[in-house]
Amino acid sequence: MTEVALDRSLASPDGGPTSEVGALAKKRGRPLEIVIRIALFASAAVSVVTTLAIIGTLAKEAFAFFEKVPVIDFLTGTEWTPNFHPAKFGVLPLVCGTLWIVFGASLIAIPVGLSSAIYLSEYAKPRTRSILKPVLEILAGIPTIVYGFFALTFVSPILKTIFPSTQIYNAASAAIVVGIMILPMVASLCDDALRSVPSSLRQGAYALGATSLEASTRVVVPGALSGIIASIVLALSRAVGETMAVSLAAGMTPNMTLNPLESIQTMTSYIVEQSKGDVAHDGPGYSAIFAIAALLFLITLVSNVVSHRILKRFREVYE
Amino acid sequence: MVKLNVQLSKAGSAAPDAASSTQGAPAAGTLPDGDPRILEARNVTISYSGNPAVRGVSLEFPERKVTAIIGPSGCGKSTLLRSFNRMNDFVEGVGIDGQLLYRGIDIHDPRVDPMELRLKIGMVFQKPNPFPKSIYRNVAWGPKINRYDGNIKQLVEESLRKAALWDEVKDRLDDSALGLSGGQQQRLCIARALAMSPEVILMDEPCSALDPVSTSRIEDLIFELKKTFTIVIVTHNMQQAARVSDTTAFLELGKLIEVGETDQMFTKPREKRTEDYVSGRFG
Repeated sequence: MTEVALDRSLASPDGGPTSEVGALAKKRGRPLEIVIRIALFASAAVSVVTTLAIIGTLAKEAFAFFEKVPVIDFLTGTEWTPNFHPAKFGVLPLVCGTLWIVFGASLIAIPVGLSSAIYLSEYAKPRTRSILKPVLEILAGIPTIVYGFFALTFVSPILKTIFPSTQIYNAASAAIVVGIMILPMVASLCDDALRSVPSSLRQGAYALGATSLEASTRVVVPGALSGIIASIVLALSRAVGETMAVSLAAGMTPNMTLNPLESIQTMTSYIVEQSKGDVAHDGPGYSAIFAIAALLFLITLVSNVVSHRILKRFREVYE
Repeated sequence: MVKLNVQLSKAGSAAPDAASSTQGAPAAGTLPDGDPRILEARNVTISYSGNPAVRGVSLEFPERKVTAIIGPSGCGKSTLLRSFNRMNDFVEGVGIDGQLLYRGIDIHDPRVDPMELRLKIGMVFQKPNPFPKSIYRNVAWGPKINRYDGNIKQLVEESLRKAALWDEVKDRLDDSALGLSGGQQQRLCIARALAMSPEVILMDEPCSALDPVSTSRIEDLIFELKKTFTIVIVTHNMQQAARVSDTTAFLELGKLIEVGETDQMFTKPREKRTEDYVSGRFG
């Protein structure tokens, strides 16, 4: 007894832990753990670093452009004639072109997308749903160039039959196909938002004598509103960045017009035009694409942040 | 066999008198006056994809009484309860045999509109499920969709008073219902059901998610409500059944084992299995 007590007092005279860990000592080698950890971190860092590098390049080149053209002239100018004399760099015609696309696309994508989402989540039988949802996703997988071609060869001729003044390249047909293009995204994201509303709320509505329409439009949709708005903002920010279809169908004419049947040019299709290489790579017309790209980046970034905020702030917390 | 009550027919929702039907016109059924059976199950079997959950149950529910349905988990008591306002319609693969009658009307008659049926037979769920809206709008929601043309403000107040919630919420009617406590939310759901002036209120374990204090408030409320409404309550809490109900039905494995006056059921049940269950020997 006394010996044991003596031992213990020797091992830790102050009553604290001993300095030996004995059986608990590390036995397995740690180097591999560390290597794997670093490799995984590097993979995760790639996307962050790439993003930062792109932002850096954009900023550098954009600043170079703004040394020649004042920011104010760029943001408020209404004429975009980079390759004429005198060259003018007012970005508003291009912004206006992009807005036409976004506006027209939202006219199609919001009502049709939301309606399909309501159908999928509230009305469709599981079997119907299991067929429809994959088809929607296929629609999202069609290459955008195909949409552009579709606009040019199918939508525009129809528009021309209805409105004879329609130009071959026009904002309307591009907006229509961009609307169709982002429709699956709206439908699918809104469907997710609607399905996140607990079914107990639907039952509560039905128990009060509601029809399916009343339950979905007056309980489920309002309950999922934050998710719905966020998905719409996300889809529209895709419309802002959409390039191939609009380059093909909307034309290359910077044009601040109120007539959607005229040819326009969007911010993205200007970048395409300049990058194709028939312009000298040292002129201001070329460096302007970085300023436009930076502006595009800002717009999509802001709308992504906004949709994130909406989701976070207005989400109803269901148990 | 039974003549259909026009009040339940589909035309009702579009007719100009739709609002008055939500007011709950009294006993316009096909049973002789004074017949106390407001709900009745006749040899009802309910199965999910062929597996019976309720087997051949026959039960009568007297008007302005509280009937408790008790039994161990999975005995089919909720399934039976939810068939009375046809909430099982939304469940895939459910099959119902036998007859369910509301004032003598077969509720599965093709001419019966389930929406109209649910105006007569309200429901309170196991977990409080207020809409993510203000307290006021939760109560006003049902009357609004059913085009109630009276004074909605007054109706909301009355309903909240009847649900013993008015004094707690009268100063914050525009606040979100989700900010209420669980017990308050459940009373709000009761108020929401009362605003439709139903004749029957189905309660599916209404206190199972609540603390003892909230539970006793709801039980007091049930006692008050049975003066006006017929209440069918499913509960796995036998003390609760003993406290609030007039009649108790005991279900086991989907079969009705025994039904009788609550006092008798808990003091001298006729069936051995009832006795085992109410005395806590199993379940």
